[in-house]
Amino acid sequence: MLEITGLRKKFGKREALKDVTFSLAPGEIYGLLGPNGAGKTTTLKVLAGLLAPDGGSVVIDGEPYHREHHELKRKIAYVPDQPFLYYKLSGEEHLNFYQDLYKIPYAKRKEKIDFFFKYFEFEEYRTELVENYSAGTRQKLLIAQALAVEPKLLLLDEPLVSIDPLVGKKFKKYLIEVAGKGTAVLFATHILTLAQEICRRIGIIVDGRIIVQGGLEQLMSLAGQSSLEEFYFQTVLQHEKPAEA
Amino acid sequence: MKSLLKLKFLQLRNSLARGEKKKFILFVLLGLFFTLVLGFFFNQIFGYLAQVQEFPHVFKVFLAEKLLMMIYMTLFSMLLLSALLTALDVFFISRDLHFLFSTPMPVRSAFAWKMLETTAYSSAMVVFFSLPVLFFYCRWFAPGAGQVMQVLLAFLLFIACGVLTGILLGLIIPAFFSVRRLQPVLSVFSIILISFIIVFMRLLRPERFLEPSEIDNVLRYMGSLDLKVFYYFPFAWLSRAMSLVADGRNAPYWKTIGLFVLLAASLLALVFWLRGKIYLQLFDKLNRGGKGYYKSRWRPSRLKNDYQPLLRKEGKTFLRTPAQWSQLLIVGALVAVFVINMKMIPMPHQSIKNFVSYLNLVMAVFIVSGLNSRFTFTSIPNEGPGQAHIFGSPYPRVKFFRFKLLFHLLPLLFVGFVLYGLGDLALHFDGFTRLIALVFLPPAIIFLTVLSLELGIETNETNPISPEHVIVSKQGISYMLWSMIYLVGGMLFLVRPVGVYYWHRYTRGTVPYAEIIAWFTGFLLVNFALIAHYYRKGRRLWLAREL
Repeated sequence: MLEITGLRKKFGKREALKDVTFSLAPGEIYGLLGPNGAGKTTTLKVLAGLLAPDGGSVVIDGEPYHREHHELKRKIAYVPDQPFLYYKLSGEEHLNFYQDLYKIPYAKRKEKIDFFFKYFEFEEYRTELVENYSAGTRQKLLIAQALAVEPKLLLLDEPLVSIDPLVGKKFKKYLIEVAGKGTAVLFATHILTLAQEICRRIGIIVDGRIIVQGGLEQLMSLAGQSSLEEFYFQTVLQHEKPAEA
Repeated sequence: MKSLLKLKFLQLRNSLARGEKKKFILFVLLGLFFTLVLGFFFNQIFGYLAQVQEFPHVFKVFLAEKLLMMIYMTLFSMLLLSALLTALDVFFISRDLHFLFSTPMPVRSAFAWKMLETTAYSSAMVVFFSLPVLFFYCRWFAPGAGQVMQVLLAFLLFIACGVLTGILLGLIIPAFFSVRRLQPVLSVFSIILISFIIVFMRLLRPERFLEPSEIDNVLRYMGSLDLKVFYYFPFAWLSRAMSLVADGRNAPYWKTIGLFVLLAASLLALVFWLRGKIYLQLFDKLNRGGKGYYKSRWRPSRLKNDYQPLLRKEGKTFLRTPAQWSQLLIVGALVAVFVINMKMIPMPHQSIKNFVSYLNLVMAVFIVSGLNSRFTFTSIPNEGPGQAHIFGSPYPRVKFFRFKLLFHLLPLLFVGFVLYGLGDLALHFDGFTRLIALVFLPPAIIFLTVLSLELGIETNETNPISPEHVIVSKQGISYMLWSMIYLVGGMLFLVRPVGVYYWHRYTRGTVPYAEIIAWFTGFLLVNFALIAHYYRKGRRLWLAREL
């Protein structure tokens, strides 16, 4: 579904991505882990088309991807790490606006929109302006918006921030279901227990490079660790030691 | 309180250290420039009044008092509305309130701090406008040090009364209405009031004031300002106090000051009483949140094209942001004044009419240029970070760019032609003038819109910017500069064909249409090149834009 090779991105003199290489199969949930400033959000932004890469290649569904490839972008949906929305639209209007951008016919969308307002338990805010939403409700709207366009590749940047545990549990269940139907999910997070719970594969990115990746169980057993948390600390600290020395 | 003052100081120092020093200096310089212009104006007026030989001293002071009343009536409305809007924001919506109330700081200190903030924010503009008025009034009518102190005392009490009234209303209103709903309504109301004042001042025909030889005119003008109801308001007390200082009548001056002090003390007592009684309850009520506001839905539209979702989004967000559209009311008021002026200008000869029609074209483009700086220039940053949804979607970026351009261009073309048309309706221009309008208006409006959009993209701002940004950013200043150069250049370019036509008509010779067409073609070609250049530049920047 997704193949990234040698992805690079610079902000002025700072190299945010130095050499990011990984791939995702259809139906796979891939957890992108790493410390702050390691390059997780930048990777996702490049894939969402918000940033232009300085080098490397991205292939989606066998086709080279660039941010003006509108047909491929139709297959991607992105949930940013901050709930940026148009505050003067109501929740329902926001979902419809997003569906319009993906050219989803009206006949198909109503049922889906009804479903997500109920499923994520914010039906009462449906016609309320987004500016009156709490941070958690905004996050629910972002997630519903991305899921409602039925993407083939779902990019999630810290999607569960501000979400209450009950809705968070429903979200995880739904995510596993859509992955079962073939959607590839790229999931950047700091919540290691969450990654351990739902990701089939993980990659740890440090200083703009993927330093380790593979199947979750396989990696942990190789490192002799019983939890992802311990494995993560061991890996990141080992990588950071030379720099500290 | 000391800690909060220190915090404000640190915020200012850090923002200057972060590279905002240039903007700050520029802002101060612009402020000084406007103060100097205002100062020059008031020096001329008060100087004329003080020096004119025909009037006795008492009458001069009386005239100055009426003029002051007119000025302070406007400034008092501004002060009151600004204090009310600021109080609603500072006492109920401001983000630091939760932080302040969670600290061990007593509520009365936090409240007092918020009162200071409201006073500073709401009175700054009025103080700024008043300084040249006070300075030059004192220069001509109250030059003694004691007199200056007396004028300043009256002015400070005037500010205190205005701000305290605004705060008092700001504490009462939320008991009956939702602050979040009310604030935009009040913003619109204040804009309507300002627009009304602009038209009111024009309808008083102040040009009569400039013909003092016709004393009847001046008296009639003053009479229209001499409403009994005004004498209950602090703006009338201030102008009265200032003229009493000029006359050296101390006893009535101190009576007026006593009235001011009594009002200010009563307002202060009421504000503190309300703080104890209802402030925290109202704050809690507001923060429990409310339901329902706009309940419109997104239904299928008959307009089936790619711009339709953006048009809907833009329309809804524009209409729901009063700070955006309400300023159009001021433009409306200015247009009304413009048309009134047209009607009132004497037109003894057709040649003057032709000249006015030519200037009318320039004025129409000038207004469109102002609208561009307010709306088109800020439109890309005002999309805010929400534009990430459009950039991240399959929606083509180029179409987003074209939409932004058309969304502003089409209404502005309409406005340009309406402005010209209103002048035409008032004065009945000739056919050639209408032809010039067709040659001049479309390319000029298209060019200015394309230029402002391109420079707006060039700011690279992804957060909404305020209109002040236009005058402190490099791109905003560039826009103002280039639009003025364009306007003057365009006028000069067309002087030749216009002159040739009317000269030949005047001398009854054969009009050299070939030459005129050549000039018009040249104008269109130059504009086409300029538009193409800035359109392509804006498009290139847009496609390279990163979020």
